[in-house]
Amino acid sequence: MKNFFQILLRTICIQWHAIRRDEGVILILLGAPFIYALLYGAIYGSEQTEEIPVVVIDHSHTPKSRQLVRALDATPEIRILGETLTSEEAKDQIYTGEAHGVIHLPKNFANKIYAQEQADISLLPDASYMLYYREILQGTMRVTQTQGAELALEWLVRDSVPVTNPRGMVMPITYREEICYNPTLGYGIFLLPAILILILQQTLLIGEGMIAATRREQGIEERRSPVATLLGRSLTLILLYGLISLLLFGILYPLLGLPAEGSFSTVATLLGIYLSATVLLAQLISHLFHRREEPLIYLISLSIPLLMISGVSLPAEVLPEWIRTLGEWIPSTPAMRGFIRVQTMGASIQEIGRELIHLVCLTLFYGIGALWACSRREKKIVCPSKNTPFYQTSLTSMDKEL
Amino acid sequence: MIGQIKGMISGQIQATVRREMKRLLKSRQIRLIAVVIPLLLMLFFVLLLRNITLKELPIALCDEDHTPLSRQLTRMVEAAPAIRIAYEVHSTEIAQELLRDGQIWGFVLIPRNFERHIYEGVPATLCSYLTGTNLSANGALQRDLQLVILNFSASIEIEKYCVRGLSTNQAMSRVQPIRLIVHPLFNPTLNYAIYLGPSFLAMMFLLSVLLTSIWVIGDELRQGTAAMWYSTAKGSLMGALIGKLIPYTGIHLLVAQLMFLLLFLGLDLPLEGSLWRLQAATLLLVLSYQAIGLMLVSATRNLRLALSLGGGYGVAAFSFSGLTFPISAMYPIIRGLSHLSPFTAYTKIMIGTTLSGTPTHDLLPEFATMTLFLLTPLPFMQRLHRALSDQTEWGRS
Repeated sequence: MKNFFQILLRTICIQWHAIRRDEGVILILLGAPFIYALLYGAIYGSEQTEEIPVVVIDHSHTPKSRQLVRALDATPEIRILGETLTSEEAKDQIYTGEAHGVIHLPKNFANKIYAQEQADISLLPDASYMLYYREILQGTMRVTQTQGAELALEWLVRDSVPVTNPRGMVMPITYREEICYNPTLGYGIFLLPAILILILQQTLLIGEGMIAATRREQGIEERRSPVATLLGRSLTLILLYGLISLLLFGILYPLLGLPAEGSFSTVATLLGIYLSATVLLAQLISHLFHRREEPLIYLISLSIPLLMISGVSLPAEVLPEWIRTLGEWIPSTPAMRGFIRVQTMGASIQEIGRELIHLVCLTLFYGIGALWACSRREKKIVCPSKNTPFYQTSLTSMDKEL
Repeated sequence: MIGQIKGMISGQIQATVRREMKRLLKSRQIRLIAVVIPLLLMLFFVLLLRNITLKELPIALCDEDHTPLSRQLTRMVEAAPAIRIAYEVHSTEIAQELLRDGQIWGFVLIPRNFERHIYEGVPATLCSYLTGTNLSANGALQRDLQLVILNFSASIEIEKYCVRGLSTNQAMSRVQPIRLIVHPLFNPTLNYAIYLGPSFLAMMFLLSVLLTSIWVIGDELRQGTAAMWYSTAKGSLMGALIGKLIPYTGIHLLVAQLMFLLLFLGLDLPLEGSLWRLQAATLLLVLSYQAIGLMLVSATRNLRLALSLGGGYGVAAFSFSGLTFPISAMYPIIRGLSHLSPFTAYTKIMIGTTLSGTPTHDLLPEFATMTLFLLTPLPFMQRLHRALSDQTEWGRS
């Protein structure tokens, strides 16, 4: 037993030194989380709502049509860029990206209204960018509805239709729509929490992969007590990342203007289990790498697929079944789900119970897996890798010192 | 001059290409990052996005009114394609718990006296609470709920007008005096696969190009084989670089053809412009990311550092491209940064060629920007030249 703790302590020291003495690992483990958090915070952090430029083709040229155009321009979603006469000119403005939609008012627009008939207007929004499409549609729909209701009211009064409550007649339903947890529909609040969770996982996987492969390149392998070795390496990383998470979510998170509704203990529990699962997964897959650059080239491309697989971007309900199942095996999936609900929506620890149990299961599964891989490697006779002709620092000497 | 170039092609470049072919056949890493990983991930995205529609998103409904009219509305909500009423609850507190529990994306509240207010001619309130934590789910639910309520309220209005002696036609025009007819341009079916697919696949492609270029050059320094590479090219830096990168340009272009197959056959992406223009842009994309890879290795002369920087830069290209989050909505400084990646221009050309059929002259600035990236390695060439023959520069990682 005494031997176990000796190995454990020694592994922690070795792991710590492996991190401390390796510029590459420092950049990935200690630098990257903050660099990425700041970068993506800067990209998505801007909550400024912009008005989307739209051109108008007004063939009606009447006070009525101009009134409609002014009302469109007054919406927070739309900015009327100007008027063109032909659809060709409008098309050009769409192609050059100056405008993202066209509104066409036909010649008979005002006449129809004066005749108390339904007047059509056409909207041609650029749907190759979904966000533009949605905003333009929302703004135009609101304007046509409110202007329409006013017209209907005018007509009611003019025709003296016997109505006790004209407002209730033209607008029988007042629809109130409330957007919870992200009232301005900010892109940052939507995506940044998930990105930050993913950054922790990706840097851990790459960082630990780099440490392990470097060890392999130098031909240093532990040969005693896989449990103590695994535990020592994992504890070092979990403690380190606990500290990083504290800085990331304690200081940077509020600075980025992200809502932090969850209690400290809930967030800490979730992150603690998440980090354990991730560190053990990192230990398991680190056996795939033979050179210290390999985790970089294999894992970098996975970030965007992992974000999609989690159901944070497109909702999980619409993803194909097998992709959802695949996602359940990756710690970031339940962690993102739980984290968003805790931090953005203020869920309690009971309300993310399913995610916590899920993460505990992953921790156990990857723990056993990592242990198996670790003890299997031990049995092999380790010979120094061929790939180390120029590497300068060596951990063997330090190992002896300790 | 021409003889000189001919000599270079036959001598230095050919020898380097031959040496490179041998290296690439032997290297597991190159096979994986240049061919296997990008193709697998592209296939993954095609399978993910194929037939994806935002439908049957679970919500809760709280009917406090319990009248024929409120039940009719409930049925109409249920019938909307994007919506599935997963829970009928008795209080908004329960609905809120379900929301925090992640079971639903929002809930609709039909308050007491809903029917009575409508029949009395007093505007009746109807509330929906949608979570803003998922923009795509929110968008789909918002759109469908608005349509349902529009139709529902129209049917009530028509009934009321008819009771007061107006014809159905007259009633119709009063319900909706201004009718909005929407023709979405370039993606008429609002298909997510067509919207996201090209960028996701191109993203996997550019990461593969960038990482491969860094790897094949950086590895010569890391493994100390730079001198052999240089001597194969008879000491010509130009010959060494062209001979080294050209085989990969070819491989990447072949992978690009598979990417187009996946896009046009797997995702049914339309093609409104010329395929040759897209091919030209893709060639520029390959060359510009090869140039950026070369620049990163020359500047750092460290394989690991160049890969770390290149990886971060490459992945960020997606966010900077403005596809999902508009560039014009970014902070001004960030807006400028978004042009520091060829992918932003490529996204525009890709959309312009596949979805919108933008005329070529409107895309010339994008082609020009991409070409400019070919110059990025130039300031570092002297350094690379020195590093190739200086042993102290080798082995860093």
